[in-house]
Amino acid sequence: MIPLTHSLVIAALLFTLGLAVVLLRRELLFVLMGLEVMFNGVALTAVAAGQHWGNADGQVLTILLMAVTAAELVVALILVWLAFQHFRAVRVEDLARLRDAQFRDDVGGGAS
Amino acid sequence: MSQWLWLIPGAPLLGALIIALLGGWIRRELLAILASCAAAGAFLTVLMAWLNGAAYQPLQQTLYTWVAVGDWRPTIGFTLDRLALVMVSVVSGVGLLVHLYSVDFMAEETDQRRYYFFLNLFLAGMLILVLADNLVLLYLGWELVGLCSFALIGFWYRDPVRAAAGRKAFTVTRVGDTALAIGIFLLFSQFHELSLSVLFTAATAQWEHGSTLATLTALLILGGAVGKSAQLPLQVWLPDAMAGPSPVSALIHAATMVTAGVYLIARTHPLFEFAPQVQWLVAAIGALTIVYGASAALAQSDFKRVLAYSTISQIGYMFLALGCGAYALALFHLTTHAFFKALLFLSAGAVIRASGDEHDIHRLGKLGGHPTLARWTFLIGAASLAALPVVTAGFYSKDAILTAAWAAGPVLWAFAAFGALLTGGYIFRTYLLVFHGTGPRTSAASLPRSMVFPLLILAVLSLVVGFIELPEGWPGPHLWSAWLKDELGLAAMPPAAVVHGLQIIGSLLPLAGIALAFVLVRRERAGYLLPLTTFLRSGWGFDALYRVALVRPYQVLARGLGRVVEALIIEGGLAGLACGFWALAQGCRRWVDLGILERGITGLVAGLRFGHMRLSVTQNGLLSRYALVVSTGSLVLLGYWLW
Amino acid sequence: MYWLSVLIFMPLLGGLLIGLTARGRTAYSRWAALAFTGAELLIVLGLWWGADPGANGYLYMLRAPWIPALGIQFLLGMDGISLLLALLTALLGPVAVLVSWNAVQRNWPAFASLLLATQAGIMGVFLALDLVLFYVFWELMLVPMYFLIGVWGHQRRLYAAYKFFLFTVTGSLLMLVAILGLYFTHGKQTGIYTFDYFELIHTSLPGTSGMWLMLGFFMAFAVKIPLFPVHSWLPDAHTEAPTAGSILLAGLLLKTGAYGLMRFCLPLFPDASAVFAPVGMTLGVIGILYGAMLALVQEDMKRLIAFSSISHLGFVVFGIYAWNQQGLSGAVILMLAHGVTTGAMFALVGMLEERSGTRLMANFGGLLSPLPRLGALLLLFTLSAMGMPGLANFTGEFLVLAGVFQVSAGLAVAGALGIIAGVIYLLWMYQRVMLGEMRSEQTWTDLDRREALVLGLLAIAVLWLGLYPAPFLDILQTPLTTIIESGVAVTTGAADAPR
Repeated sequence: MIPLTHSLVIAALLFTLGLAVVLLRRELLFVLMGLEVMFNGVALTAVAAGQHWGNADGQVLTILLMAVTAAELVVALILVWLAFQHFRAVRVEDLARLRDAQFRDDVGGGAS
Repeated sequence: MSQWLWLIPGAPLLGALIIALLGGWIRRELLAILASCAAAGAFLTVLMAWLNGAAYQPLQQTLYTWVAVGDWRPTIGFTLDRLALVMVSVVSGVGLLVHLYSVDFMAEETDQRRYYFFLNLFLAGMLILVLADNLVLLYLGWELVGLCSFALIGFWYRDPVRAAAGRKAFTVTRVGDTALAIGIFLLFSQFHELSLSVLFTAATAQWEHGSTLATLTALLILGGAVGKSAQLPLQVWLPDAMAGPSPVSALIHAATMVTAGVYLIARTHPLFEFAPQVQWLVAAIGALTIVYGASAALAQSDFKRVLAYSTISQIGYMFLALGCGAYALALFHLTTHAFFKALLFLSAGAVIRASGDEHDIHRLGKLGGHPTLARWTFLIGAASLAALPVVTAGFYSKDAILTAAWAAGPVLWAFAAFGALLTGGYIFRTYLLVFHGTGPRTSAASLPRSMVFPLLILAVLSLVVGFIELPEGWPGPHLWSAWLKDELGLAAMPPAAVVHGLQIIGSLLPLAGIALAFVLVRRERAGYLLPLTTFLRSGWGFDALYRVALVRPYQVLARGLGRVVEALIIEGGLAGLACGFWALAQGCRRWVDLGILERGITGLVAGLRFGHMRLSVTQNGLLSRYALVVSTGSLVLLGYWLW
Repeated sequence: MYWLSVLIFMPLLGGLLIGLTARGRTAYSRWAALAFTGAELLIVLGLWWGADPGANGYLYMLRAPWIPALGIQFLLGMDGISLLLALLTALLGPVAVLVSWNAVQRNWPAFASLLLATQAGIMGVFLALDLVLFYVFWELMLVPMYFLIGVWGHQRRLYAAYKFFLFTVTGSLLMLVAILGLYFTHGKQTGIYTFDYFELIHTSLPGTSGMWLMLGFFMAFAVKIPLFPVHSWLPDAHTEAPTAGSILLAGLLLKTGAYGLMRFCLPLFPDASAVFAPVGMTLGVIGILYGAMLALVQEDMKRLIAFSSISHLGFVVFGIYAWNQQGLSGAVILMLAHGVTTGAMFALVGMLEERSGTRLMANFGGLLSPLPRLGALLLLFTLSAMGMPGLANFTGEFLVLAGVFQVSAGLAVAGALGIIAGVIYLLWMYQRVMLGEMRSEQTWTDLDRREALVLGLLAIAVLWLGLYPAPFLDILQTPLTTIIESGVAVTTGAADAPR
């Protein structure tokens, strides 16, 4: 029997790790990986809480989460692939097309 | 016998249906024979009805329920009583003869299928009208004959004048029809029933003599009758209706359809008896129309238009009789008129056809060489129309009406008598101009057999039908009034001494008329014109009057509505709405936006601009920067909740 | 009865199927559309055959939960009125497909699927008895219709489609507000929040609230019918729409408005409607005369028929607000008659346009000799439209006028004048097109087998409705009695209650 605190700590670590990857890495694929790690942290919380309260809801949620993640990942990977094909972009700053017009020249990068 | 009643209108209806659906596969000559067989089917069924005692025992057949709305269930049902029996006999008899006549008359037409379809359909409609046991079915027949009349007047539709004549006929009669329809609705809202027999019983039980309701109903029914029977003031369509083929004029615009109004009033006479003012109006309309038609006929130069005005005038006699309460006599004149007027039209048709479609009576006289038979039959018809005493059928029916008119009021009699004088004048004027003109008398051309036969039969009938009802006080049969007495009642007659006096005057008038005709023709050949010729020839200028008083204003109103209401108000309103909205938006911009914001709070705007500049920095399109902000924000919120 | 949902979803799925699988194959989509609409007709005929009236007049019912939390159900019901209108919808489906056979030149698959979707929406409107469901179908039929007009229409199609959409959507939004108002009023009174027609019908609406809610519904229906001041979209939409679109518009879409008045306005708000009835009848009579007048001055045949539709629908409203057995029966029969007659007229104009490329009457004339069959059929339908006894419209107009006469003789007479006006413009049209001298030099071909089939079908319907309407009227009696009783309760109750 793993105490709840342990699981939560692991989950928090996973989440923070994932967040750090998302924030710090600039490659699109790494950002995606970071997202997945964050998902896993959340899923772990759910399972742990479910086990703690003796309730199956957490596991149900996790299974749903896995299914949704799988679907989301498919879409996201395709988008990454398309971004590479169309803009030759592998890094996030290559995809700064939503920036305000007046800073277009200030911020470097872009698909040129 | 009752169960075969449907066959009377059914036979021509079936004929029309076969012609419409399968006509394309039938040879052209066979179409005419098929249509005639259908008409003969109706006629034979009527004969069978006579032989099976329908003359004394009314027949009744209900086919099916037309609609069932609440407790009201009008049926498609036929009743053959004595009044209807007279009518179906005349209609199917004359109808059959006209069909036969058409076989050769129309032989060269290309579009026989349309002709025979509408001719058969007309016969079916007329028979339905006559046999109907309720007002809905009667109205169906009423409209059906109107439609066929429209289609057949405009049979040669490529001539715009003829097509317009058909349209005019339909529209004008439709005015009357709508009055009739409103009358029917009025009756329905009163009694919740439209079956004729039930209506009469209910009216007798509930109405008072001379009540407003009864008057109104009778007036509306009269409106329908006036339209269909071409009486004043809705007579304008009939002269133009002569644009149709002559057999059609004979059948529809002389013998049968135009007398439907007479039939309608006779049929609904129990209602009219509650409205003495309307009855008086019927008589007045009749009397006026007699003089109107006869005087207009005196000045016509178109062969068929003379006969058309003559028809208007003769139906005036029937209306006069109806107004005097002499329904049986109106029916009697209807019958004799059907025979002699059909005879006149068919003879005229034969003459016109032989002279290469020449309608002008003066030119026909110059042309000469008319078929001998047509000349004699026309003479017989003319004599009967002029009511030549003793030998013609027209004399007996018209004399009886004159006598009844005297009993109702000597003024009415005076009109009718004047009309009788003019009748002799105009018809013999026509006869003399056409057949005793400058052209050769004899003709080598002989009529085809199918045209000879109907002419002969009608000629005989125009002479002998009168003998079934000799004038009062004469020895011999008085079958007609006695037989119809139970259904239509007897008219009041003046005392015997007066009757004899009237009969003598009545016999002299046509002779005087013929003398007038001789004088007129002689002077006309010398180039003399009647006073008011143009006025009379145009039918007292009614067409022009209606064009100015009704048609133009209607067109102007419709155009005006189209331009003003539709274009200006609705479309313009929409455009105005759009403009208004636009103006509102513009006003908002100028006063609210530019006024308050620009002048009053320029500083705020500047501040906002400044803030915008600063905040735009965050809008840099860098994903990681966004993610950082999101996570920081989440952390801050989390912290706020927890602590 | 699950057949009711089949009626709605079969054309919808059929349209989807054609849209997905046709891949530009014209013949395939034509035949598939014909098959689906034909099957629809067969199902409705089967439902008519097996109809067994229940106690409340409903022949078939289908009730399924949809969004129970808000009290929204999937509630379909078919009584006599719905049955007859569903029958008309199903009949005009194959007609619309057949008249478009060669007339539609581009993208048949998309055309077919939009046509089927419109049919499904209209069918839903006639069957839905849950107010939200009704609203959903009410909007559903708009969208495909918008594209039918906007894509396959004539020169000014975009303007017409836009106008059509704006007018009807504005009306519908007012109806949505009224639906919600009714929902909350009923919920506050009884504690049951539901959109169920059978529950809402018992709502008591004190004061003027009933009038405002009724007006909300009325506006939506008045735009659709269309009544006099809000009719301006109709001539444009009818004129610019492709033939099949005009047939669906005139034959069915206009009927949904009249149906709504009958099904919702009168029974839901009997008090307010009783007060409003004279206004409704007056608007009806204005529509009759106004439409007939304007029809006379039109040059475009389609526009003429569009204005004649305004006139005829005026009769329908006239009969509905007479609110008695004859008036309502006449209104329903007239809806059927107008659907068939006007549908056929539009089909005929479409055929003339296919042959000559114009709809202006000035360019026609004397066409009876090259086109005898087309001319004869045009005469038949023209006569029906002008109220010739023995043909369809007469039955309806006669009953309507008989009904109105019991309420107000003056208005009935005014309405009867509309019949005269009808004769004038219809005969004028017929003469200009079919009679007189031939004006065009081109060679004409008479009806082919497909066209004859369509028109023959409609001609049979016209004759049937005129000569033997009893089977249609029998099935109407129970539902109409229900509607009338709601009105009678008002008038007698109002007379008794002290004020």
